[in-house]
Amino acid sequence: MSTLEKFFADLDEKLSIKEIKKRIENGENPQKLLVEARKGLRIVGERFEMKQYALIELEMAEELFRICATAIKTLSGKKDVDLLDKSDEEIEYADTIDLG
Amino acid sequence: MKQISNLLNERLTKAISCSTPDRIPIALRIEYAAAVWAKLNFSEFALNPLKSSEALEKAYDDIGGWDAVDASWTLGTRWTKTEVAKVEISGIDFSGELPHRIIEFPVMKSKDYDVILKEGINSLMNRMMRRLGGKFNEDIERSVFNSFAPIYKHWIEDRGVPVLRGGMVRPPFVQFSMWRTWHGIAQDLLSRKEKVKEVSDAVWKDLVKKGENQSRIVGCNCIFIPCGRASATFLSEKLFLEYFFPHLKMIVKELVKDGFTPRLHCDGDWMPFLEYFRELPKKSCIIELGLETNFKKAKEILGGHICLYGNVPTKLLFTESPLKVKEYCKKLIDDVGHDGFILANDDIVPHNARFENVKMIADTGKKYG
Repeated sequence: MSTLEKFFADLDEKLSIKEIKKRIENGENPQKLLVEARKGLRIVGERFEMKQYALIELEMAEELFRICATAIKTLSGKKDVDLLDKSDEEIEYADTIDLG
Repeated sequence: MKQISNLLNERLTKAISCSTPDRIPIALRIEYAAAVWAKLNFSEFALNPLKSSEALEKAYDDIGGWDAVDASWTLGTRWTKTEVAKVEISGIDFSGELPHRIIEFPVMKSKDYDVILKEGINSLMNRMMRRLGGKFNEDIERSVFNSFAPIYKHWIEDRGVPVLRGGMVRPPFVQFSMWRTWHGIAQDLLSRKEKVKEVSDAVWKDLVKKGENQSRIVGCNCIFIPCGRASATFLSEKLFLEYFFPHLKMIVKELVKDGFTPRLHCDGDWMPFLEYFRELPKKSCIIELGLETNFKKAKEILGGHICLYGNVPTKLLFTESPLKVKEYCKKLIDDVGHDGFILANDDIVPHNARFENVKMIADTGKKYG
């Protein structure tokens, strides 16, 4: 597991971004970083299946992937990265549990 | 501020203290089903506390009574006047006789955590209510709960029926996840987790004060604590221990110290977290567990410590025969035993529940409890 995969799988935003920044400054291929972030995303899914993570961590992973992809795109100057560009103000969905 | 005494009867008091009462108390949680049975339209049930109480009272009498009711008469009024949320009421916001809907909407912005730190929770609630086109302040909240007080008095004093919900305290994580939405709170746990902790530490006591004040106004010492959003369905153990449980523990301890009975509403899967609830004050709380949590195992873990409340499945109440309900209740009683247990439906009786099935819970509880 690469360092970025580990930071991502641990849902550590600060360390993930720091790692992306460092490696882009060292001239690494941004696509490779994106692949590693995707692998991190897969590990999150595996941890969910093993019940180490729950639904909120899946939501966090989705958000972290968006943040990482944006960082990779911005820092590398590449525009061929597919982003999930949603702001929190746009999200609206019904609840199904008793809120009191 | 008037002091409230313990308004629960001996049967409930014994159950909550995890001892064995003369019979297992029954506490059905009926909302819109009472409106259907009383032929009251849902908008009136939601927004007219007196009429909704009358509908519940008809159900109570037709069923032949039970041991404690929920404050169904407060529901729609509370949600529309004192909750910062988008709420849709049947007959007003949508057609058809369906229960009110709470729409998850990000009324709280990430910068609002600082508003709580600087100005307090009521100030933020007022700001957020204005965003939704409404108004909120402590006078409005007090006036709404004052309007409920005579109905509580009627149930508790005139009818001698305890009510299992006075005020409410949402633990900070639960409250923020509602105001911020799931996506918003997920963003916060990634990008501003220290802020979430700081504000949770700062605000939990104010939330307790709010719930206690609501309870004092209506004269009912049970305080409802919705916990579902912190279940293992939604949170890993790590996040549960970091963002939810420490505040729940402080909230429950404070309420018990002040003479209130916390009623923890725990829908979702709580199995992996149940051991932690043994850290809460002993023989002082009620825990409502949903179907995802194994009731028999829950009794093994929490027996003698917290009173279990539940959990006849919702599905049985509208799809099966009364006989099936009876069989389920008998087995539940056999599994859980007679100590520290309140027999009830799981969560809320669905609005399309069959009257005879709901009545069967009470009948079986009275006969075999």
